[in-house]
Amino acid sequence: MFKRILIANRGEIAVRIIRCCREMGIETVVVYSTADEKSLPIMFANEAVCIGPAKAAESYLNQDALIQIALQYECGAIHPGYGFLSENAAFARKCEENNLVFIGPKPEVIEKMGDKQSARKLMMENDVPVVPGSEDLIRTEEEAEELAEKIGYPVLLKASAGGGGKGMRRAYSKEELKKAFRTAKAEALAAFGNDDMYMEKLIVNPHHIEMQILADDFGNVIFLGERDCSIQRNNQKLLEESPSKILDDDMREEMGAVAVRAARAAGYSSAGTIEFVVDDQKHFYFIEMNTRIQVEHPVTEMITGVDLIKEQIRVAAKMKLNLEQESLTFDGHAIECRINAQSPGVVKSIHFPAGFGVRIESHLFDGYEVSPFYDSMIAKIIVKGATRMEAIRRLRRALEELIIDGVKTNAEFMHLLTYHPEFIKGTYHTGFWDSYHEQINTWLEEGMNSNGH
Amino acid sequence: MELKEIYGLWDRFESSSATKLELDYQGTHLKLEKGNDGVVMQPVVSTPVAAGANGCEALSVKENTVATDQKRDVSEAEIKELKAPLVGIFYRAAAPGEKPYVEAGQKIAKGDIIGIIEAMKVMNEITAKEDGIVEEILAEDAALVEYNQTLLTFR
Repeated sequence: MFKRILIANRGEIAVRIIRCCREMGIETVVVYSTADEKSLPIMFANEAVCIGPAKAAESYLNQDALIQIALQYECGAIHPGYGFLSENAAFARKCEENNLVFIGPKPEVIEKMGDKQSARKLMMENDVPVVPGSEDLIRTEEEAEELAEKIGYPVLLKASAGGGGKGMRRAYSKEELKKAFRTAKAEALAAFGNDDMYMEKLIVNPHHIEMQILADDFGNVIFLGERDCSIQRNNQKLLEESPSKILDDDMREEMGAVAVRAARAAGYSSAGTIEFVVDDQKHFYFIEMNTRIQVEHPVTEMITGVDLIKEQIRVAAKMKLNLEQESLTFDGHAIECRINAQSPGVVKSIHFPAGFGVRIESHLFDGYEVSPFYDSMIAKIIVKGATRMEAIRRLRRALEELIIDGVKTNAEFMHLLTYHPEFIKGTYHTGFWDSYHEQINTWLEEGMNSNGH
Repeated sequence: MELKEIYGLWDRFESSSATKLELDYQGTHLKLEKGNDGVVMQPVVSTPVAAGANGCEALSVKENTVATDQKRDVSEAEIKELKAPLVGIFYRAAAPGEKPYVEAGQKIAKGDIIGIIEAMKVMNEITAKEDGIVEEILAEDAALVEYNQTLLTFR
């Protein structure tokens, strides 16, 4: 087991990893930028090293400095958290070259799954259902037209090197296709320097369902259930829950087996997530694989009782997974609600909810300064209930109890969201935000009457 | 006049047998008086400095003459820090065994190399950003320095 780990991240995930290391008897070294000088990770870690100015490129993304510090402090491994360098194959490789264990999959696997088109191809070769679409890149408008006829409209044009919704265009007919192809290509070239395009069938009313897997270096791969992440604003998740009301037991078993097959095909080890899109006819299709621990991992931890960060560290230390698929159970219902700051500022006072079935993951403390340089997420409220309705009531109670004074957040909005009939039904899809956020904002401004309108 | 200087003067006055001190100095008017229950400090009023005024203009003492230092002590405010612009191993000399780039008391000019920070086998020369005299070298030779860590102080 590692004696010391370097945490190449900040905020709530750095706190999460440090806590886990402390419980495992592993010393921690955390890096911080000048903007994070007064923060919880620094107070909790054994050692803290200032790595650069606020700008992420010069601090948290500074690969050489991270490696230098890890070597100097005799760390056995680096945990990249999520975001930043967690899916950077070059960094994972640099760690390897310097005899540092990168806590995550191998660099080749990160590369393979990071290229969306190559990931798609690999999945198709392994009988993993993918969204019907092009097998290869589309070179010309004529090719695009031919393929769209074959797949059937509506279609989605996607940049192979893309992300964050860029280089994507929809076409509902032949007339729209030519223009969509041209503009998507131009946007991709501008954003990523690469205008390689492929095409997929556009799934109408899609549900974003992702499967958590854990794999070790000994060929063991287990599936830890799904998370429904369909409540998103501009492709940014706001709330995640498990289990999903969209899946029945048969679908869950089938998708779980497919997720395991996908992870094996990729040669995966460590924690990972396979993302699927599910349509209203219960068809599911592979979208992509996230080769890192994710923000919403606590949802899975609550219903399985498995400590995913601990398992990541154990796998990285070349230990076998001591979990078996047969003995893994899914208990109850868990929901995570992300709390985002709507502007930078000083959190004058904070009171977190507590009590039975409530878990908080946050880096906030009284007097903490939310800076404008990084992600706006400042806390995660995770609840568990015996049933979905119990979990929803618990989340409402937790959000009512939450006090964050000094910085405006989305807490009140999320509280009202839990009263929306479509949310309560549980079969919402990714169109939820577009369809209902204005109504929820109206409730926020004007109040809701007893009929729920 | 700096608050530090006022306090210094105040302490001296307190411990002396003088009972009254009135001072006009660099635009500050200061009046200290010992009543029966100790020192009474009058509010400090800043008056514009007359052109050409320098040093002590008026010093009147009721009973004893109090000698004050005409020359101001060189205060802490003059000390500047040269901070590490990156993370890495700090070296005081160009190579092991060679003479260090700078020593305490040495004069440095803007652009002078004061040390090297090695980051992943790349040697980065660290240069002075302004002229001065090295006060103290705080970073240890061959030790890891953090971003913004003070390497040396100078005046």
